Amino acid sequence: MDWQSIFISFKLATVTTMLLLVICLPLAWWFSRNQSLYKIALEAIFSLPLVLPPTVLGFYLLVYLNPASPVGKFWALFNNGNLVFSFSGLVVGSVFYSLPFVLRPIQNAFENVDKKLVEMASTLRYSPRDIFWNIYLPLSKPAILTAAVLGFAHTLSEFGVVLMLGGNIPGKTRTVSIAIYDAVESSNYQQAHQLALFMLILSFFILSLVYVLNRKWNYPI
Amino acid sequence: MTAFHISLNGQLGLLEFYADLHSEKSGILGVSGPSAAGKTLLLRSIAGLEKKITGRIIINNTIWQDTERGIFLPPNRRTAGYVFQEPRLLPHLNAKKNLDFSLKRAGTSKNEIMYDEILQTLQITHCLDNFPHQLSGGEQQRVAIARAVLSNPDILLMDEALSAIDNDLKNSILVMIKNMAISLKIIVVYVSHDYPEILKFANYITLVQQGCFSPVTPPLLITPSYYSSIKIPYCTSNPGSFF
Repeated sequence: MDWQSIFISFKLATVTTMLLLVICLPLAWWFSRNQSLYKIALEAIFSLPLVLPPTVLGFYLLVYLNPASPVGKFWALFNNGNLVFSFSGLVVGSVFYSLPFVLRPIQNAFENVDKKLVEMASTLRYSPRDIFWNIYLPLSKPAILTAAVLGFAHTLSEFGVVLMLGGNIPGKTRTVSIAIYDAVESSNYQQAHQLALFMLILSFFILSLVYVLNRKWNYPI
Repeated sequence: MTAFHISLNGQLGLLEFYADLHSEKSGILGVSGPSAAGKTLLLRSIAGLEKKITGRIIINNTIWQDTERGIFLPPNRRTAGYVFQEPRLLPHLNAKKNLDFSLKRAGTSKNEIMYDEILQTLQITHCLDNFPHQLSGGEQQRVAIARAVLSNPDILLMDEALSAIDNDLKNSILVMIKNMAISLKIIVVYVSHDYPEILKFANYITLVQQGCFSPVTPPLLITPSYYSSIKIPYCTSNPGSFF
């Protein structure tokens, strides 16, 4: 079993999911309260990874993150090495790639919070920020969990962006999906079977856990 | 002083409400009138939930709104307790935690000493551990009343708040609220369709039709026959002089 690839995949999915939660919670909050025209444009931009082939996203990220690009040069000021073909580059790519899968469920949940409860809390002297922490977050807990799992699972299964941006460097950027592809390419079907079955069983357990928690956290009204 | 000079041009047409309430006055101000007359709109305007109104609202010498001077305090900076028509309890918290939700922002609550009395009068001590979906409609509404009362308000707004509660309990709750209003020197604006009930408990009364409010008067000045004889709106730019 290629434990190294499994470890990299999980590390990538965990780091990406945590970053996405930090980015998407305030972003979804802002989107849910904003009705302006530029919000629509931004929503469309952030949803692009849903429809774009991963290779297109990977190609553009390769172009804009390479060492000769402004972003690449800026990165080199503070870090040794390049952003592309590195784990950090994979994280950046994964954040772009999985963003709509985390953003949309959280935004939908925020938009569906009963505005009557928000009014009630404001008459009890809760500021908009207090209302976010005391009403929006707890009532959206099931959706935030779903968003985190979707982001995690989507990052775990990503292939195109990882291949374009990370290459296939063992111990550095070779994730499980790349390792399976590699094993099949080199006719090592036993290895491919092991990795594929491992991913299948693990995905099943993660999704089951989500359904159990969602049932527990759903509040009857 | 406490004063309302409110006007709003909205869906209902023009809503106008003028009342200067002197500071020594407290108790229940009953608001009655037909459906869609603007009763709820008045309460929402006082609480700051309606942004389109113009005018002046002063509660206990604090200006909550003065359109001419560009002052509009958001709802969370007004000290208005609001009992809505529906309970609006937080579904993820049990009844006790719904009350704590109110106490958290109430500061040093004058009502905290009355906590047990309030809970007993409202008959909710037995169901504090229950979540809203485990409470009956009447229990939910009583928890909502306790929550608003415990928020240490300078003015308590009650919108048909007792309509889901049976008559005996309703009477004892109204007596408690009236006593509390007088002992804490706050005004309770109590909206109800039930004019006889208002006549029984309110210290002062205003009637509303099509967005226009009658001058605030003690209830004895208005008899049910006077109430039923009202045909035309009585918009007036003169503040009520009876109060």
